[in-house]
Amino acid sequence: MAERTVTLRIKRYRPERSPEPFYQEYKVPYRDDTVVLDALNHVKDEIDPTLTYRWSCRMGICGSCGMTVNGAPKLTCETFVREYRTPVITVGPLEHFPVMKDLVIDLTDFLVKLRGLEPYIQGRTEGGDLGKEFLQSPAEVERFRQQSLCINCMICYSACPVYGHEPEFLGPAALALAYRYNMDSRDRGGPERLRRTMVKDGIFQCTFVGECSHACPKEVDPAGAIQRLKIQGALATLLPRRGR
Amino acid sequence: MYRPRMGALWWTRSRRYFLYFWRELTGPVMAAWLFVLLWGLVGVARGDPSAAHALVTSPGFLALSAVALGFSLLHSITWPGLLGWVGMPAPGGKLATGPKVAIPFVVLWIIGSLLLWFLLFRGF
Repeated sequence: MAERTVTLRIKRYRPERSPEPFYQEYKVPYRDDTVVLDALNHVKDEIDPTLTYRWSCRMGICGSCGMTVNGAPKLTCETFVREYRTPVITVGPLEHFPVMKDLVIDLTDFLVKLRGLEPYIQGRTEGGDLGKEFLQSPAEVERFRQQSLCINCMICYSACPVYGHEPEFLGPAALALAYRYNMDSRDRGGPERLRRTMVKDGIFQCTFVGECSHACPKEVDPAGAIQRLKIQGALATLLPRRGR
Repeated sequence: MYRPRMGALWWTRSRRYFLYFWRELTGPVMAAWLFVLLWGLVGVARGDPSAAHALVTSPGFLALSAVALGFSLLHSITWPGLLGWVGMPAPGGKLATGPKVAIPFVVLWIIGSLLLWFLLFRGF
């Protein structure tokens, strides 16, 4: 395959050198199968070893390599350079997050919010038998399968203007995971988890822009999940005896 | 660490942001239109129908009405799409989404509008 070149215009932030971010350009060769992450690796390996960014699996599973590519949040390991028909590709850190260095964002805020929603199966130990198997039908799995595909890549947060304006908002991925566990037939933590989503900066802060679902590389549809949580929350408030 | 701030023109960056922004503006525009209309109706109630007539035939009110109609149509057309996105409970514990939900809401909207039109202009 013939090699061509593209200029990567990378937004850099090196707090030990400058308090403000700045752009640096690198000319990088690419082929049809080169993804943006490959181009970044070329820069780090061959041109500038000081460039800092996160990556791991290179196959859209780990969720580490989310970045802003030409203004849109993307997983760089599955974003091909050839898709951009411009001589310059601008790469920056995911938006709306504090930036630690170059393309590395601080995830503390998300992790604290996620932990607060207790995204794990709770409380089903019927008869105290912890060894019991809790079977699910395919239909029961289907109720939450889509939201279980989340890889916590933070692309939905970067696409969400509500989170950009109101950093206290619990945000798409955390709420989608709350929905995922609330819909799981094995879980008994639903009412309490739902209550935790109905706080001031919870589900009703979402104004249904929908960009989180369009940007999601795993088609999790956080926007749909949040609206369904709103319905669940409203029903739980108006009809408290109705149950889940 | 630094935290980047959102620019004032963030809503111009994608088609969906753009549509969302204008859909959200429907509220203030409709409120302005209704405020002006109520002002005219208050004039009629006080025995001054000429003021209401002058209002509804003024170019300014007609222009505002056209803008308000555009906004209300945008909202009415995009809203069923959002409902289809959220989904509705379907038989067998399933979730119906997409056109299966959106199209019935569009049909209901048209029937409701026709019914209202009939009651207002033909029913009395």
